[in-house]
Amino acid sequence: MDRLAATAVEKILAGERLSPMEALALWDLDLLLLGSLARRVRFRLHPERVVTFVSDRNINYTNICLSGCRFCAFYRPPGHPGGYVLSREELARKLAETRELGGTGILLQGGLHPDLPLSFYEDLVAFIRGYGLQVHGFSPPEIVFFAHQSGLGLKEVLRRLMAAGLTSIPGGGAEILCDGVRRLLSPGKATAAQWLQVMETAHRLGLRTTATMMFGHLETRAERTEHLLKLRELQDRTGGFTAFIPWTFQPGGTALGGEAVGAHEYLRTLAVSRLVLDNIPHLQVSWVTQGDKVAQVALEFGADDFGSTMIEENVVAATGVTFRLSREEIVRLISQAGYTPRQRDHLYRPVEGNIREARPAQASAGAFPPETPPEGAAAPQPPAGGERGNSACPPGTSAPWPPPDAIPVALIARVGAHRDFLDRGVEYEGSRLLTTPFGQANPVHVFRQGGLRFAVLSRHGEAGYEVSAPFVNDRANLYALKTLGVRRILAWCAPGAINPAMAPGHLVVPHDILDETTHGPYTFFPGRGPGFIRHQPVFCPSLRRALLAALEGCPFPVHDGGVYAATTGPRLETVAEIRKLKLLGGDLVGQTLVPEVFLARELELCYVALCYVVNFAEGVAPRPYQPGVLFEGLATEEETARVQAVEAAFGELALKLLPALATATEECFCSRLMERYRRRGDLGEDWRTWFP
Amino acid sequence: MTGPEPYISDAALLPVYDKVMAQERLDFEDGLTLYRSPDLLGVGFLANLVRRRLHGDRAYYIYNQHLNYSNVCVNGCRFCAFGKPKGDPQAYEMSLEEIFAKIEARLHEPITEIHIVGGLHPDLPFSYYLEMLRGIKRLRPTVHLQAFTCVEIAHLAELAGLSVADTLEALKEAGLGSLPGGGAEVFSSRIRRELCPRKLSPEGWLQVAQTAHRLGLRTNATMLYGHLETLEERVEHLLRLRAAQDETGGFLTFIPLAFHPANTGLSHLSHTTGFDDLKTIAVARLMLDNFPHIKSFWIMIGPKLAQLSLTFGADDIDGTVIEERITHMAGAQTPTGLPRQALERLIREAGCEPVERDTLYNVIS
Ligand code: SF4
Ligand code: SF4
Repeated sequence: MDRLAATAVEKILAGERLSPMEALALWDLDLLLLGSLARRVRFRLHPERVVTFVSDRNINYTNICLSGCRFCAFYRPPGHPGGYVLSREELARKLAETRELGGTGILLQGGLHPDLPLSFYEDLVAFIRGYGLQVHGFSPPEIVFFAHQSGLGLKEVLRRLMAAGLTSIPGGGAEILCDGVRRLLSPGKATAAQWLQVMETAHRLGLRTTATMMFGHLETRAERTEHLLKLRELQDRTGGFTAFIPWTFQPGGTALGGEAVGAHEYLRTLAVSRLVLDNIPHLQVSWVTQGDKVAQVALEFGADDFGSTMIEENVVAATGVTFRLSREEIVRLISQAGYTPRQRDHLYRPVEGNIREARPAQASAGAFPPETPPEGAAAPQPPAGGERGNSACPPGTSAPWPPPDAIPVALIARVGAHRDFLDRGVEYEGSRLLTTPFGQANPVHVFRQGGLRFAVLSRHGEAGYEVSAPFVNDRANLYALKTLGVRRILAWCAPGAINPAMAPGHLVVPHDILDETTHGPYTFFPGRGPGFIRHQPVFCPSLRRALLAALEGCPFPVHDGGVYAATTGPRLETVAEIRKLKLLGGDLVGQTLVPEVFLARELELCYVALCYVVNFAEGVAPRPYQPGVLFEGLATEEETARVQAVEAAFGELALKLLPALATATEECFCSRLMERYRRRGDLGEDWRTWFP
Repeated sequence: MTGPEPYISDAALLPVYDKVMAQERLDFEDGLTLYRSPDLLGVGFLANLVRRRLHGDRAYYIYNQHLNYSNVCVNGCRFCAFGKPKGDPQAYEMSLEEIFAKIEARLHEPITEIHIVGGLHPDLPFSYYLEMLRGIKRLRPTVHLQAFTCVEIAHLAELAGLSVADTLEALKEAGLGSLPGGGAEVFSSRIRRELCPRKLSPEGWLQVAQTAHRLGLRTNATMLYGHLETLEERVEHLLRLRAAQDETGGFLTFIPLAFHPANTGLSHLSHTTGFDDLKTIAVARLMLDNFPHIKSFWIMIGPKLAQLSLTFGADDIDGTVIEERITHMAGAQTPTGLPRQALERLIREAGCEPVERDTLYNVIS
């Protein structure tokens, strides 16, 4: 072994980052050594013997493509009789089928079609989201093409697709990120810089992506290394890549032809990828190109994800490679290799009904982007209990709480709320995706404004209204915020008005809650005792006063006080129900604050709500029914315009309110709500010991 | 690097590592430890140490022709997709003319071995077999004939009313060069009662092989794995082969055969996994310390796994097979032939040096 390679091995064993020359030297190591090193790094990043997979379907919306890449056996030029654009009926059938088969998402890709407008793609995404499926869609060459065609620019195209509900972007079309190779391979396609730029833009908008590498054609190993280093560098800056997926070029039926590289070179490349990409959490096997046997063996060469139970794979199938694997088969392969299979979604969050409980946050959930400088932070240390790495991961109670970089205040708000701050150019630190003992939390976006750091979490998801009220995981969200050191929460919500004085477009700072919901969980301690606590006042009095003071001079009418009646949802209430709530003293009706506020109090968080009225509740003002629009006509156009004015001002308003909340000094008892249980010894001093 | 770090991650393998380094014989428990370890790379590393010690970087292949003269079989083993009862619409038998035509059709190719196996045909006369060998030798005088598994030999002996030794002598005179390793299945009476009750017993199989060895004929040995057998039964199988080899020394190559369930009486089973294939190769290399060669038959496990197996203990990946019926009736998804360049490229990519051999592992240059 030469000196560089020896240094590389030493550095890997010590958990240090490889220099470009050392990365290059890895290629000469023997396969078993590379494998055992990659496996070691894999267990450092993911100490559990768990291998994840996603259940999704590959849908190619069109095979008509202007690009004509030489390695592609799938495309047809415009005008070719074999060209197609998928019809809505066909799409609907595939989507329904996917749901039936337990799929959670769609991998949506297609050729570069000369005359489909951007609205076609937006509709496509929204249509798929309508089936409750995630959309992992449009690789960078497609995005570049849309941007070019629509004249809108990358950022706007991405933003529009996100607004339509796009979940994440697949890393296809990366091939080899060296223009020398690309010119020969796919001259009509996005350049390496363009590919990277799409990813960077997406990451900065809060959209996660994967990255791929197609190798084994014209490139050298040095070019493969360059590809990996380019990804590592971008990941250092944005942290937005979830996974890396290398796969081999399949020559059958392509203009390029030649021989496919073998399993040996595939595994070698996989292992080198794991070793060089120390900052991308997941590494995925490509069973589509390698077959089930090599894919299984690849789990010993650094991979921790088995990819998808792809129901359809047109692009690779066109080259004559037709490996098919069912969910049962993937579960069997993972289990027989000695790992626990776990289904995930496209954001690498465990899908419910899983074999094992999710564990607290660790490297795999990771910071987005990484907070510490990459040097020396390459990977956490191996867990105690041997190199085998099958010990359970530590629950993470050893670090101090609150953390030294605690975020004092958080905003829980509507869909995609963080975008208001991105658009305003507020300094963005990135997002955190935390797994808690109560499951996966929604992403937490961290911003900094005038020395104040604050967190933003969207209750109902990031893009569409993908998590309706009864399905919000309040416990996970609050746990995640508390983990980050948050002590004060501003809950922004959009109720209807029962009290006619509170018209749409008005702001209300409620003072009490009337809980008419039927669906918990209402406590962090089911069946354990703690939770018998007093709720007078419900909302933190100190924050309420600070909030009202800060709202002085705000352009919208503000009501100090109101009773928020909470219902379960997701449906709206009936006339009779509103009448009942009115008789009981309700002023507002909504589906968000309960059980959120009560759970926040169990974690001893100061919590205050700011409501903006979006409509009159059913029966309060007579309104004709209008199918197909939001609230089915419950709000008039004029009212909606007023509500939109509030929404437009939300970001600016929040930037004024949050500092006031962060600096409120009046005394409150919120941080001592569980004091009685502490004194009795039922709960420990450190809140993180409360949940075994 | 030859130390156990970082290759071995399962501490249970360390005692085996010590034995391998000291070139000590492994026992039954070691075999089970290897099989049960989740540490595929660790097991592969141990096997690779032995493989390198014996063969360095060399990886053998052979240019051969396969001939399955008939699929008619009286045994009806449950794991077999090849054998068919006489009269079955899929049953076939080749006439001697057909056989010779197949040989003639490839006379221009540098074939060094003809590999002949078939079912247990109830009424083809012994002379058919003798004529087959003689006729092929006439067409290709220098070719090596590796023909008839121990199971077929026992069957022919019965048909001819001869002893096994006399049967082998007669065939040898007609041109037989060596015996392929098939029909060993798993040496477990439990499995054989369930899957192939009519087949030649393990004792019978070993006896034919050892008789052949005493007559100067080399033979191969196989193990059919991935059906109903336990890991203990696999290890016992290997130990019985090792003991027989200690006595007669005539085994040349061991070939693990992955079970293909499609179109067999066990089609409800899953096919073997990559882990199992590689581990079986590796364990065989480690347990069978007196077998010169371990072959991974690429037709059975596919070229990708065969290539990887060269790093997990195998030193041979069989041949440039053009026609091979047995596995393909059982639905193997692998191509039916690989050209020489493709085979050599596969081997080179695995960091080995391709060496073309004849049946007895003489290097062809
Ligand atoms: S790879 Fe994509 S961009 Fe290239 S020709 Fe095929 S469909 Fe078009
Ligand atoms: S395995 Fe051999 S003996 Fe058994 S049925 Fe098949 S051909 Fe006949």
